[in-house]
Order: sequence, then C-alpha cells, then structure tokens
Amino acid sequence: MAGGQERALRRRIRSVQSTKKITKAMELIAASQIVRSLNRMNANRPYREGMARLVVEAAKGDPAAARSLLGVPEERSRVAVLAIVGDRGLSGAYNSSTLRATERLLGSLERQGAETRLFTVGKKAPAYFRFRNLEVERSFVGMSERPQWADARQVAATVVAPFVAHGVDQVLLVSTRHRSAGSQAVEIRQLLPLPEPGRGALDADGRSPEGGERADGQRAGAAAADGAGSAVAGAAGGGSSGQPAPDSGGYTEFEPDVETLLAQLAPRAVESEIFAAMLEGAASFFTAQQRAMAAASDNADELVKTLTRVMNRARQDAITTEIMEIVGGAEALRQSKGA
Amino acid sequence: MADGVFEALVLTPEAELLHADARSVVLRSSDGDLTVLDGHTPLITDVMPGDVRVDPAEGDAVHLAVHGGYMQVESGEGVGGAEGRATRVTLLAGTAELAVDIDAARAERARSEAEAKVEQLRASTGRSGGAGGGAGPGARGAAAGGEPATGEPAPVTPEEIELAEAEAALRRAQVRLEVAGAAT
Repeated sequence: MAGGQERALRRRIRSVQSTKKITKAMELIAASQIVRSLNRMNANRPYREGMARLVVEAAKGDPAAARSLLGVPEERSRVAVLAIVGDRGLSGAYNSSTLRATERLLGSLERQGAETRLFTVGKKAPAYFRFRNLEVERSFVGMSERPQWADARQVAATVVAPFVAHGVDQVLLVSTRHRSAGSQAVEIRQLLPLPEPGRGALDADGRSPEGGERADGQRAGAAAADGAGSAVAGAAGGGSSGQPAPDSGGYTEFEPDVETLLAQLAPRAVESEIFAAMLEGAASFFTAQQRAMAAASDNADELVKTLTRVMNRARQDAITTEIMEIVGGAEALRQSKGA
Repeated sequence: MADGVFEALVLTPEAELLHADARSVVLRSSDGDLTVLDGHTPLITDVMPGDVRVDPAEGDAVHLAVHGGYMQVESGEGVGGAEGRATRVTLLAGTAELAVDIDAARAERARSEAEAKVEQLRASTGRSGGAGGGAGPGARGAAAGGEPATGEPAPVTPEEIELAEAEAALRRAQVRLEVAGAAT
C-alpha cells in the first residue's frame, strides 16, 4: 500500500534531520576548538623559536660535540618513528593520511634494511597498526585534542631515551602541519639528531629531498609567514623580525660548559618540537573535523530535499490512487444500479 | 641605544609570560647568581628553579617563579627588534609563572600534599631522599630541568616514577611559595 511507503520515507527524513543536528553541532564545536587550538599554537610559537635560536647558538659553540646531535646521521640502521594522530574519528582524512604516510615510511625504511621502532600519539593509531600487524612499541592516548606540556615531555622522554642510549640512529616524526586554515599537510621531520638549520621536511621515504634546501632568508620568511617551516631554520635565518642574524657566534659564553649544555638541550628541543607538533595536530584535527562535519550537514540537507520530493510524489500517488478507487467504486455502483 | 635598557623575554611553551624593556634580570644558574645588564656578553646558561627578577624600564620589579630552564643573551646591532635594542635576553622555561599569578594558599596546600605523598612513597620504596621536607635552598640542588632530566637513568618502577613526580611537585610548590614571599 502506498501509505506505508510514505510513512517509511517520513521516518527516514526525520532520522536524517536528527543526524544533521548532530553533525551541525559537531561542526560548531569544532569551529570553536579551532580558535582555541590556534591561540595555543600562536602562544607556543615564541618559545619554539626561542628554543631553536638557543640550540643553533649552542651548536655553534662546539661543532665537535654538536656533530653527534645535529645533522644527518652517518648510519641509519635503526630508526624510531613517532606518529601523531587524533583520538577520535569523524574528521575526514586527518587520521588516515598521517597513518598511511607512517606505514609507507616504515615500509620504505625496512626496504632500506633499517630496523624500525614505532611510537604513536592518538587512539586511532594502535588500532590501525594492529590491523596491519605492525608493532607499536608505546602509544599515548587521551592527549591529542588538548595537548599539555607534561604530555609532550612524557612523549619526548620516551623517544629520546633510546637515542641517548644509542639504541636508535635517528628519530623521525610524522604529523600534520597546520599551514593555514585552508592548508594542512602531513609532514615527515627529523627530530633527532636535531635537524640542521635550513632543513625542513623530509620526503615520504624519510630522506632529505634533493634541492629541498632553500635560501635561509627565504625559508625564514616562509616560516614567519605560515609558521610551518622548520623552527630551527626560521631562527637560523635571522631574528624574530626576519633581519639578518647578528654574528654573535664565536664568543658566546656557556654555563655550564657547552658540551654538558648541548646534551641537556637536545631533549628540551625535542620536547619543544613535539609539543608544537601536537598543538598543530590538534588544530589540524579540528579544522578537518569542522570541514567534514560541514560537508555531512550539507549532505544531510541534500538528502532531506531528495527524500521530501520522493515522499511528496508517494503521497500524491496515494491520493491519486484513492481518488481513482473512489471514482471507480462510484462508477461501478452507478452501473450496477442502472443495470 | 646605550640607555641601559634591553629587550627581555620570558617564554613558556604555553605563553609569552613577559616581553618588556628591562634594565636588569637577576636569576640563579648552576654556577651561581647572575645579573644581566644591557650590553652583557652573549651567553647561554641554565636557570635553576627559583626566583627570577626582572627590573623593567618603568615600574616595579617583576618576580617570576621559574621551575628550571635556559637563558640566552644575544647582543649586537638590531637584535632587540623594532626598538633597535642591542641586547636581548630570552628565558625559556618549561614551567614558570608570574609572582602576581601565584595563589599562595593553593601553593601551600600543594606543598603539604606533596610533602605527605613524598614521605609516604619514600617509606614504601625504601629510598631515603636528600632534601626531605626542608623548604628553600636545600631543594635547589636539583637537576636544571626542575624535574628529572631525560638523560639520567630512567626511574624503573611505577612507584619510583610516582615518587619522582611527587618530589618535583614539592619542589615546584616550594619555589612558588618562595617567590610569592619575595614579591610581597
């Protein structure tokens, strides 16, 4: 019977409408969280840049000691990879693109004969890697959306320890960079040894891209403009105002001696980088979520419109059928009377 | 400009605590107390947990509780940004707060809580600690990070980690109280 179809459609429309209410609410919440996480990102930037400046200056003080902590590792047979994703889904491709990039990186490292160790931040990571039979050595959950400094310290301690103990030659970070409201991208960066000033993201295989080194000044400008360039690079190019760096190298004093200081500073610099990456990840997560939820709301609107049209047609059909039946019935009665 | 004024920054990962023109910055490094004035030679040093005083170009001295960190002094033409200051002092601290933001009552509460916890954990782990409940200078011999440095052999058992955290909390509360006291 046609009336049944109409009822089913009405129910469907109601369910789509309530789904839309949820996606709309999530969109609004995500939008407000974007602002909050961007504010935190901006509040973090001076510290991050200050730390990068400090490390660059300290490294200049003792190039010999810096060699083991800075630059490209001579050997790369054991690599630790840290992937930062979110705790929740419903955020478009935010989690999956980082996870896929991580998986690709692990694969390519293994093909190069390197031993890999995987660390993750975010609830979405362990499930993904478990399904693919990749072992996660340690995963951190519950800190992705509002990362705290203590969280970053904890993560940093976990990945720095094997490097300090010479258990790994290199520590790589895979996370989403928040370049602007419209542009977020997965980036692979070297955490340890500390990346050389002027070097930013690595390619998908975790190698430095050839010709990827831009002029320092240009890079510093880019870093200041979108905050996405390597902080170390940004600072190397000049002061916070982008002026050429005054050459104070060579006669900076150190307390305690520079070697001790560098050894202490390296973990601090990693903490700073990880915290910044977590903040950027959170901002990217909410941006992706807002976009996904906006699309879902639009889609729900579209669906309601289509379903309403189908329902109206069904109702009209039902009415037409009913009239036809009445007319037919009346006609039959008249004919039987007349006969 | 040699007017004795330089750019001073106190930064934490969460915020820019202070960005001002200053006449001096007084702090304690692992080598001892240190006062930075305009034109100081370039320097990178660690900062011990404790009171940091910044004397701004105008107004009263600003006290900060810094729970370990590092300081960089840069000097040269054009270091200090738009005002053309020749010296810039950047203090980087994982955790720090302005003295005016410290809630002394809360810090006191945190101190007694942390003290009790440290006592209890020390008893259960059988580790005898150094500084005990002694507030002030005794607790200052701690690592520059304010908390166990990552380079040290990592605490193994969960109890030891908990103890280290409790000790760090105690140290922070002590520093806060000290700074809150110094500022008033």
